[in-house]
Amino acid sequence: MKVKCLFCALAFASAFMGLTACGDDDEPQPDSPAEEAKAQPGVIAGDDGSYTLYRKTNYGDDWIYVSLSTMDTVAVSEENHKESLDWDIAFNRYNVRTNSGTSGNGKGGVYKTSATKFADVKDFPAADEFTVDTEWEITKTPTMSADGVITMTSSASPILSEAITIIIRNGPPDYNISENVYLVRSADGSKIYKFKTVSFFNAKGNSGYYNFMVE
Amino acid sequence: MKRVSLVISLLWYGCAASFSEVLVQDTTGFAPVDLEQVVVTATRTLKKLKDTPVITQVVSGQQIGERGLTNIQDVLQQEVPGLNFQEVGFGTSIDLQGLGAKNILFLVDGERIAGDNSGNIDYQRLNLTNVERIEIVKGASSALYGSQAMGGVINVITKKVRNDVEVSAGAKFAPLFQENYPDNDKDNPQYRFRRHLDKPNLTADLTLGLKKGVISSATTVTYKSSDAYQLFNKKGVTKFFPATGVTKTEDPSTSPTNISGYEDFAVSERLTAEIANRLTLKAYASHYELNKYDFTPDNVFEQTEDWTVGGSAEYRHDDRHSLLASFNRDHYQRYDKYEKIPGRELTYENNISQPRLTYVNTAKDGVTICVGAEHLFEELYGDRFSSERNETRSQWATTFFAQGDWKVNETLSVVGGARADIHEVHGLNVTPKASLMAQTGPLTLRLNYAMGYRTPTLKELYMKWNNQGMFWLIGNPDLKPERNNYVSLSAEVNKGRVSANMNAYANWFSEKIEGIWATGESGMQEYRYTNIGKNRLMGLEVNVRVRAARMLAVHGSYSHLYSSKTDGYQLTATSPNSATFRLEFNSHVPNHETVFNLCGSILGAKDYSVLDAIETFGMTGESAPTTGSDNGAYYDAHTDSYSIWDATLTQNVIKMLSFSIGVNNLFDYKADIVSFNSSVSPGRNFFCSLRLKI
Repeated sequence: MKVKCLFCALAFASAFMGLTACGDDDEPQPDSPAEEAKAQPGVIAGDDGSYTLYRKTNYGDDWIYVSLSTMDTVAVSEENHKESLDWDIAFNRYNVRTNSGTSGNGKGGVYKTSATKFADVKDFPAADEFTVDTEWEITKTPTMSADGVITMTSSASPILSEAITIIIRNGPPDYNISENVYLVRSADGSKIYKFKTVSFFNAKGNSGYYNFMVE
Repeated sequence: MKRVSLVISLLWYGCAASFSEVLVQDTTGFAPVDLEQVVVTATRTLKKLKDTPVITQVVSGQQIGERGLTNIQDVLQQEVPGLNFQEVGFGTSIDLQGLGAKNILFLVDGERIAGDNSGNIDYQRLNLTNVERIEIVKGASSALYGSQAMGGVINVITKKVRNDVEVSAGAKFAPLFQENYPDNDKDNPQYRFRRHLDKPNLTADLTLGLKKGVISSATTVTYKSSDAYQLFNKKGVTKFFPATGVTKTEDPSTSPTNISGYEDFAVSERLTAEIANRLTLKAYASHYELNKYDFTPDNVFEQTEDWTVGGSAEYRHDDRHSLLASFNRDHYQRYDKYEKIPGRELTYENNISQPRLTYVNTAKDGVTICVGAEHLFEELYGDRFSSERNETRSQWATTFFAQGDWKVNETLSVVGGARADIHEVHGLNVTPKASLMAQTGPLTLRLNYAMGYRTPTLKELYMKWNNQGMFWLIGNPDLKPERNNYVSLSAEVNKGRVSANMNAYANWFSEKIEGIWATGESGMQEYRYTNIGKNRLMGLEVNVRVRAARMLAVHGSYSHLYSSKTDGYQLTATSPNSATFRLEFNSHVPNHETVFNLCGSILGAKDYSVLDAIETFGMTGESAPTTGSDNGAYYDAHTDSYSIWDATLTQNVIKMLSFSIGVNNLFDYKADIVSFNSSVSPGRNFFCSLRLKI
């Protein structure tokens, strides 16, 4: 309840701060009908070497599955995603899945390094040091609903899902982005990718778009 | 420590050298204020400072330069007690003795400025590079300047070209307030964002003045940049809710208050033609661009662009009649500028156009008649008028004004005037004013009455905006203008080395536009604008300037403010007691002047009420006053007194070249709790500057 009210108060304050729209993590809808029409499933590569998801996901179990080998989305349903080994990583808001544990039958998993640059990661840890996915609480109904935040039990990487944390303060929410490099093991276990979260915005400043680097 | 030693050494050297030279040169008078200087803001006609019916505070461009000031905020905070700029979510917000931005009118050469954030203009736009003086007139001036001039008018007067060739070039540099990314990797996708946050604290300007025959030209180019920094709370906030008797002490917030960095670029051109001493033609154009760099890594930053164009023609017939026709247009736009890809998105646009005709008659000795007409057209584009798309709204007003200024005899002067606005929505609105001034010997008494008003903003009239599905903000086309009645009585003494004035005033506000909460048909909360508020401000100001010695002047000012409560709550978060202090040493050595300024701005402790929706929703059945929410509750807030001191030493090396060194926030004050009501100074900061004048 309090979370709801905090958000209300801060959003109200921000509403008075001028005409300019604020960057917000609000309705998980495409930005406009025109952009929706243009949005094609995929992972958009930027000039800066980072990748951004093509759309925001909805609250609840709406996941975008991505193959790190092809850097493209993989069409699997929520019902059969566990059986598929075509995807390595998946995103729902700031929650992230790997193809492992409760999320998939693959050999995925995550290891959080202390390095902040890809080049500084020279050695990979042993296989048993990777953390597989577990049950994870995600947001089912966002803060603007009458009943406040409602969560639901889903499945995600407890390590990588904390690469983005929300900070509520005056004005729109801020997103604290981990500087650490994460290691993500592929679904078939044959490859380890260096992964780093860049931001939660697309190139036009709309929030809700996971932006990351992979090597 | 080395830098402090350097400052002291230079100061000592400057003082010693100047004292030795001044023993043989004494050409400057002892009056602490130049009462013969001509000002314009109080009556809209040229008048000597000593003859203005309302006390006018003047800050000269020379003083601004000697104090190393590069933004209007610092100038005003050093000059006006109780004037404070605060950093709030949208940017900078002014508070002048209990009055907010919507009640204070800023002008440049008498013309309005487009673009606002909750009534605040973009203060960065007020370029101090080519300023002749800044005139500050407190109290209602709507009879002369129209809407918004309810609490004060601040008029920036630009410099005129006086010589065939004038060149002024300067640069000011200060260390970063906070180095955010010392190790910014070029390969990092956030490289550009991080680099923007660490822009150097730099100001550079160039002014070129040319005069040939009847034509003169002034061209000014300015660049400014500053780094972004963060302020952390040292203490937690203690909140007492009188309605419930609940006290809550919060832990110090771990989230900092972010102050954005920026860089801006401005260029302006002013052309003047003086023809046969009868006709003066002026034309001007300026362009301004501001990039504001915030801490949110969202791949966009706020970009502002402005174009101002205008001109005037003034014809003077036999020195007794003059007719001035002028036009000003200000075109202000704000964008979301993409940081990583080309392009930007227009989010806000505000245009104002204002033609004006003014006739001044001085045919009868001792009488000055000023009459005029003007038309104000305003357009506003943004996302708050419709939940579907960005829209444009507009409003216009046609105005007729008249003022009579009668010097009855050597002792008594009377000024009376009125303004009639015909507004597109609100119809006819008449605003009178009257002044009585008596001068005898060193004493001047001034009695003033003025009515002020503010027409509702386009947002207050037409807003229809849903905030993330949580509540609506609803404008009200039936709003009436806010009004106030202002009365002041002042006494001024100018004698020898002392200039002092005391001003007592009362300001009654009615029909204040405020929002009230209501439940809409959809069941969602709605914040609807309506005319409900009343407020009463009363105060006393004292200004004393003393030239203690030929080279030493001291200026102190004090302000006491009483603000009425609303339903038992103190909603005006202004210090009842505030003061400014300035000590100025000037060696007056021709071509080798040494000038030292020590300026202090002191804000007394303040107690006020803050609506807290966070606590509110956690409590049951508590009802806030009409200005709050159904579910809101106020807590008692307190801010301790504090002072900010700045020191600057300027040395003219040769006639054309001077350098300055200085320190802002000398005693390194930082607020324990950073809020909308506290200082956001980054702490002690040194600077140096260099200026070349030809």
